[in-house]
Amino acid sequence: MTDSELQNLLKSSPQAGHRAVIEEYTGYVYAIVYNKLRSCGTNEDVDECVSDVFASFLMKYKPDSGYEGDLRGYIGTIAKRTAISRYRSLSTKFGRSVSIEEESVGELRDTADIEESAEKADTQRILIDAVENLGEPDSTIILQSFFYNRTAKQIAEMVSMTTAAVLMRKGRALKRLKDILSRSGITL
Amino acid sequence: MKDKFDILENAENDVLERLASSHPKPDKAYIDKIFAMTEQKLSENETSSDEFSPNSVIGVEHYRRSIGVRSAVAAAFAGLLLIGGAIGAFRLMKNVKVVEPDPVIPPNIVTAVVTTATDISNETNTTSKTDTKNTRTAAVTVKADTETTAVTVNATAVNTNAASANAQQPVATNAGGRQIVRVSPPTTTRVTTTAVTTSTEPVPAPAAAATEPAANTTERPHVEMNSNDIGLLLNNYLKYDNIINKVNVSKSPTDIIEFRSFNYHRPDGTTYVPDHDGNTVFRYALVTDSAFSDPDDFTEYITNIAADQNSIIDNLSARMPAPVFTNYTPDYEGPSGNVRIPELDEYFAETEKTNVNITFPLFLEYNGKLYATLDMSSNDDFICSGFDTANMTTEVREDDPDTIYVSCPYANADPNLWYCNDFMFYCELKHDTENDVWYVKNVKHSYREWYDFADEEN
Repeated sequence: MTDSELQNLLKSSPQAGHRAVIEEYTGYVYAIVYNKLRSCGTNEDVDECVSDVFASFLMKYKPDSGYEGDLRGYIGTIAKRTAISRYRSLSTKFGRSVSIEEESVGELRDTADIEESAEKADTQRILIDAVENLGEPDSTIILQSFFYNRTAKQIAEMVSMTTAAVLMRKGRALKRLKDILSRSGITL
Repeated sequence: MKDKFDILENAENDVLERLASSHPKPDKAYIDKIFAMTEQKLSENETSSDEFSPNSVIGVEHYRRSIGVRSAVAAAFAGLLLIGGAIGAFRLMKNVKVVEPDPVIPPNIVTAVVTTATDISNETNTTSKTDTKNTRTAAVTVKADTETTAVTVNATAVNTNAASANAQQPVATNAGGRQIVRVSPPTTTRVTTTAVTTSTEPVPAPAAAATEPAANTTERPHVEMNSNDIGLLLNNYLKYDNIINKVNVSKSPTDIIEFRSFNYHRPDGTTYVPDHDGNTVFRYALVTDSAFSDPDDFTEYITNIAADQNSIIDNLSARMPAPVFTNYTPDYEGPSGNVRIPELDEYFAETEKTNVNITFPLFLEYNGKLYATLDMSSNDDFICSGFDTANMTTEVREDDPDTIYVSCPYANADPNLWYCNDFMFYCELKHDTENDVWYVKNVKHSYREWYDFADEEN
């Protein structure tokens, strides 16, 4: 469904429009939220945050406002901000904050290593390139298994295959991925 | 492997976009869940925003109030305070009374003559002041502080006006250890007091004192075990391949359980004591016939066995697990070795293997699982233990999609130790398609070879 169709549906039938927006963008929002919360949140936290994103979008978005930009960018921005907000909230909850009165506060000065950051960004791109080069469904199997920590059974349901087949493809895909990455100087 | 993908966390925008776009569409159940959560949040928001609808009154209410009201209210409160204070003071004053002395009450005197035994002769001397007329004898039970025996005493209760002078006196105890206890009616009472020994006669020792202290019952209980299949185990399970290729039997060792310096009791009454150094060590690792609903469970399973092993160790104080078959021979020297176990004697006699310091399959059953020794029992520096699951690999072959071949190195394996060389764990996960469960089969440890000293000598 295109954005204009979604906007029309939101105007004519808000309830159906809500559902259509959620159906269209849940995967996208989930990926953004999970990427931010995977180190500190549970699955329930992620789900809660995903629904927060949609609730926030549907509260703010007015179909009659004349907004003609793409909804993907709009929702993506809300998703990133909501996820960051939830990340801060969870970090505070689990004591990840640092008192500004502590002596170690000096360590909070900006020590960002530009070279390191650039290298990390490059590695990210190489890794995602390599995974995408595996093709479907192997790339999905690898990402879901190693990044989203899903079990073979869950992945099997996701890609409509048997668990054994998923495991078989995963083994082979991993081997191919290692070969591809080793050519780029990255070892798994 | 998973940690390698951690680098994608907080990815740059373009990578994040690619990650997000490659994420498959979630299933209907998940969409329904998110939709329901979202709608609930929207309705909650609408409800809360209704409170600020145009019909609501928002802002500061302006009204007129005469200045005199404030003064009047202040005066009223001050008056209330004063009245309250006055009432309180009056009530306090009312409670202070001059106490008149109590009228003389005809005393009811119980003269309790406390003795430690049945020495009534003392009583005669000490109760001479009392009128012996109208006396009643009351049984007084005296609880002794120092012993558990009750001492019988005689108490003489006297109801007489002549004793009124004495009645004003507090409880007095004379040097003879007698007590005069003033009590209110009834005149016959039960007095609990401390016995004071006055008799020169020896007091018989209380019966309770003769009770011996409870014997120490921490002796290990006799361990029953079923060793009917020992011979079978020994002969058929001696080589590890044979052990592990049994149907539904697999080995999953991680951390090793140790039992040190205990006496091992056999059903025939024989007790095997620790070796001369007191260093008897039995080490066990898990052997089980577990089935898994999913191959991924297997990874979790082998990393969580330690908890089960801790459970065994925690229960050691109550009962040592019964070995199905025992072995352990630290520096076994044939029939005259330190630890004498008939099955091993028999085995060594048959195979002419002597002075063997190696591991034998030793099984014990605990909580429905089989455990077996895997270690060199006497090697204190044995460090080949634990799975390096991060480097575990799985393989599915095209011609056999229902089998997953797992290989996993051991953590901390020391390549300098012969028994740690190429210390790998292998197994196969077989899918039972009918029941949709996975079994672990054909477990192997690549380092595990039968170390035949006879061959070495040749």
